[in-house]
Order: sequence, then structure tokens, then C-alpha cells
Amino acid sequence: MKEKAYYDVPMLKPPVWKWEIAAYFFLGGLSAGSFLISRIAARRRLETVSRAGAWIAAVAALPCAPLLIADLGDKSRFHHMLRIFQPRSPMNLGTWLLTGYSPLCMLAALFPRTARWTDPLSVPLAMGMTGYTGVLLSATANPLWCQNAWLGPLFSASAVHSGASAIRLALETTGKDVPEQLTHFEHACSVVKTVSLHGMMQTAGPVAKPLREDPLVRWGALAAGVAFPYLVDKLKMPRASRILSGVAALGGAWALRQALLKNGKKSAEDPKANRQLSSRGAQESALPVSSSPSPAGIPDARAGTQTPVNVGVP
Amino acid sequence: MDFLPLRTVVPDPGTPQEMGFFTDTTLCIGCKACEVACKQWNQLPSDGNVFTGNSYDNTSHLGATTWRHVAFKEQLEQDRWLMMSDVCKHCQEAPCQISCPTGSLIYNEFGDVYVQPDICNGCGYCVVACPFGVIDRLETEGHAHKCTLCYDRQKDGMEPACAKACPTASIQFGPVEDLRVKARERVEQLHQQGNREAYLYGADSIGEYAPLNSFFLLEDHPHEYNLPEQPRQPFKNIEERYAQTFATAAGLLALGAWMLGRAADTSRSGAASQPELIAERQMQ
Repeated sequence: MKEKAYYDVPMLKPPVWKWEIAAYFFLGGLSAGSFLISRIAARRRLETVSRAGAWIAAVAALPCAPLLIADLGDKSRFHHMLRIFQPRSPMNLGTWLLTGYSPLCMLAALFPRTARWTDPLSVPLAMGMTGYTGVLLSATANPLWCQNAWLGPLFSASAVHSGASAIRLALETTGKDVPEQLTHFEHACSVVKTVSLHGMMQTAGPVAKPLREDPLVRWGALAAGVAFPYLVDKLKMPRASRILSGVAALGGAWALRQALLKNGKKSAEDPKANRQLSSRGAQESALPVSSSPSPAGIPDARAGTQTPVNVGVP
Repeated sequence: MDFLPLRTVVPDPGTPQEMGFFTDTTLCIGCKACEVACKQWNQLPSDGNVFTGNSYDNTSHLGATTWRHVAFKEQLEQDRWLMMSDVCKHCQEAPCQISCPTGSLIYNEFGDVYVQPDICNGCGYCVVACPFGVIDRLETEGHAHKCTLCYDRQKDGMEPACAKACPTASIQFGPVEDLRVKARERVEQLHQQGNREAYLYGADSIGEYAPLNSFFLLEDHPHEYNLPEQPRQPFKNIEERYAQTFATAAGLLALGAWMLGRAADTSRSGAASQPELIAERQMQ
């Protein structure tokens, strides 16, 4: 029996977001991740790490708001984002996080000694900044992202990983000492990131196939972003390779964001992916018709009055 | 855990009832008067002249400038021609409304989801949040648009343009509670007439998805009408996702504090001050 479908018209609308949003995902995460490491390092009196982290955070934060504004359909109304405080909308929450975090991270770079006083506010804001964008993607109807609980942790781990890589890169290129534990921490974040990515793809199911096979993920996020830096460190390769591995790690993080956005867009434009999302967990739906063909080829109907069926989390 | 309730405004009992649509597709004759009336009343521009080859459906889907769309599906095996006038579902827990960061999308006093056009800044979040693919951003002017359920007409006590134009009363407008009663009676009537495949889509919850104020009477699987079998509520369990994300950041923060603490101890114990080690590092 032919699959039930409406010609090849997709059910969903693709995201209207473009490269500005992938760039923001990367830079915002990098900024917040570096900032968090910088604050830890300050408390542990690792001055060079702390200063490098603080400056990376501040510089990475600078383009963030302009990128978001550039992506808007009506840029002159960008301030409307601050009309309300609605934390259940990740985009609104993120606007407030960014608004609070940006000046504090600039302050931490310019006046390091004041930073410890703003930590009670800036650290939670930065923690939110690392991962809220993943929650935002999961709170959409997109076949690749919808309700995927791994996206937030993935973005958070990737942000902290980017921060560690960037700080290490900055220290290597300026000839400073790189504490061994920083490199180990970078690898630990890498592991959390890889596990989260795997979990995300498993949860997304067959819809994640294009993502799994995307060179941006295989060669960018995984090979360049995770495997290469780990090998360089394990094999104790010289400074030039270590610098390259830092660049590769950052490139891999950007590639991951880009791949998620690109494949999300493709999944929304793919009618089959749309239907896969819509049928996932639908066997127990309240509708009398199921997607699997019944023997007679006719969907069976219950009586006219429907009683809502409580479906567990699919 | 549900301390972020999905619906912003719960209508007071004393306010007017929630108004919506009941679209009975068994009565639709595919005349598209609803599409025309909607375009004309709302002064919506044309979307171009495209012959899709998909039966009589040359509109294809709802969008920023198409707020009623008639779907056609010829089913030769069942000797049947399905026709449905699709519209914004005005969900009772509308993901577009929850997602809107500017507060542009609201529930108006009639319980319908409305985009305040002077507030929307075109962020595009509502576009990806809608599980039915209804709302879209108009690229020529940057704002999101969708069916208003003729809010302006309702304020003047009139029925929406599409309901007024529909010649067969396939599109019925009124208080949602009354429409549900009528709809259930209609399904019962159809079953007794031998049409056992008729059912309601959205009059009650569809699995995890709250009811629709604009619901349908269908005769086949939702996918045949390009409706999702199980509409997704993107904001379901979002509190947990926030918590898991924050916990990840907290865990990494704690791990970093521990690991970098050991780095600090190592450097303080003098390992980095040993000349041989410094020289070795400089040679790398």
C-alpha cells in the first residue's frame, strides 16, 4: 500500500536563519566557554590562562549582538527583543542572557580585579550562554532538532571545549606556558561533546542520517575538531602542530554548528523527514487512523466522540 | 515538572468565549472561495502563477501571504476526491506564541493567536516552531504573518471572510465549545450514513499536542492532507532541557575547577620553575 503523503510538498517551513546564526552560535559559545575557564583560572591564580580567556571572551562577544541583529527581518526593531521577559522562549531568555553577560565579560577583560565581584552574576549568565542555543533548536518543530534533549548539553560542552582550545591556542602562539591540565580539560570537554553528539544523533533517529554523513561532521567536527587535537597532544607533537590543532578544534566547533543548521534546513524541506517526525511515537496517538496500513487497506475509525489518549514521552 | 506553563493568558470566565473554526472537509467542494475571500479581505498579494500538477492545488501550502489553502487529493482506489480548506490551527498551546521573543504573538480576547504586526522584528523563531508549517516570514518586508481569524472582522461582530464566503458551510465559525458539539454530532451522522472513516482532527488533544481552536473533520490519514499525524509540542519538557543543559555546564565548570586546581598546585610546587623543564619546553 502506498505511503500516505501529500505529493512532495513538505509539511513544515525551513528555518530562515543563515550564516549569521551559525557564526553567532560559535562565537557566543566560544566567548562564554573562554569566560568560564578564565574565571576558574583567576580563582586558581593561573594568571596567563585567566587573562587569555578574558580577552578571548571579550573579543568573541563583540560581534555577537551585531550578528543577531543582522539576521533579523526588521533590524530597526531589534530592541523589541527586550520588551518582555519570557524565559520559556529560549530566544527571549538568550537575549537577556546576552544583554547581561556581554558588558560583564568586557568588564572582566578590562578590569580583571573587579571581575570577582561580578562572578555571582556573570558565571551563571555565562553558563546559560554556553548551552541555551541548543535548547532553542530543540524547542522547534524541525525534524532534526525537535525535542532533542542532547542539543543543549552538546552546545554547552562544545562551547567550553572551544574556550579551552582557544585559550591553549592563544598561549601557544604567544609562547607562553600551557598548563598540562588545561589540555586535559580540553580533551575531557571533547569527550562530553562527542558523547552528546552521538546521543543527539541517536535520539533524532533516521532523520539524522544526512547529518551523520555530512563531511562537516565527519571531517570537520569529529576528525579536525576532536581526533586531531587529541592525537597531536598524545603524540607530543611540536608547537607548530599544536597551534594547528587549536585552529582545527575551533574550526571543528564552527563546522558542527554549521552542519546542524544546514541539515536542519534540509530536513524541514524533505517531505519524508517531515513525515518521519510526525509518525514518531504516533502509534498511541488519539487519532483512530494509524500510519501502518490495516489489513483491509482502510483506516479504522473509532466512534465519533474521541477520548484523549495520554501518550507518554515518545 | 511544569513551572513554566505553556499558555500565557488564561481567558477569564467572564470574557467572550474562545472563537474558532470547524472545517468539515466532507462538505468542501474545492471552489476556493475561501482562498479568494481571505486574500481580498486582508489585501494579501499574489504568490505567483504556478501550475503544480498536484490535482487542483496550485497554492501548495500556507505561508506569509496565503492564509487559506485548499488541498486536493485524488484517491482513485477509493473512488474519492479529498478536498480540505487548510488554515492556521490557532492552537490552544501554540508553539509560535510561546516561542515569540518580542511578545508580538499573543492570544487575543477571542482566544485566537494573533501576530501584532507593529512589534514583530522578523527573528523567524515562530516559523520553525510551528508543527503545521503555517506561519512564515515575508522576505520582502521582514515580518511574520498568518491567519488572524479575521480579528478585525470579529471585533465588529462579523464572521471571518472565509466562513462568510464558503458556499457549503464547510467552514463554520463560532465559539469553539459549540463547534465541538456540532462536529461530534456530524461525525456520528456520517458514521450512521456508512462513512466510518470520518473523524475529528484537533477537537481534542492529539497525543502530546493540546486541542486546536481551528479543527477539522477528515476522512483519511492526516498525511494525505499534509497534516502531521502527531503534531509535536516543541516546548514540552523544556524545563528539563534547560536543567540538563545547565547541569552540563555546571559539571564542566566543576571539572575545570578541579583540574585547573591541580595545575595551580603543580606550578606552585615548583615544577615549572625548574630550569631543565623550561628549556625542554622552549625547544619544542
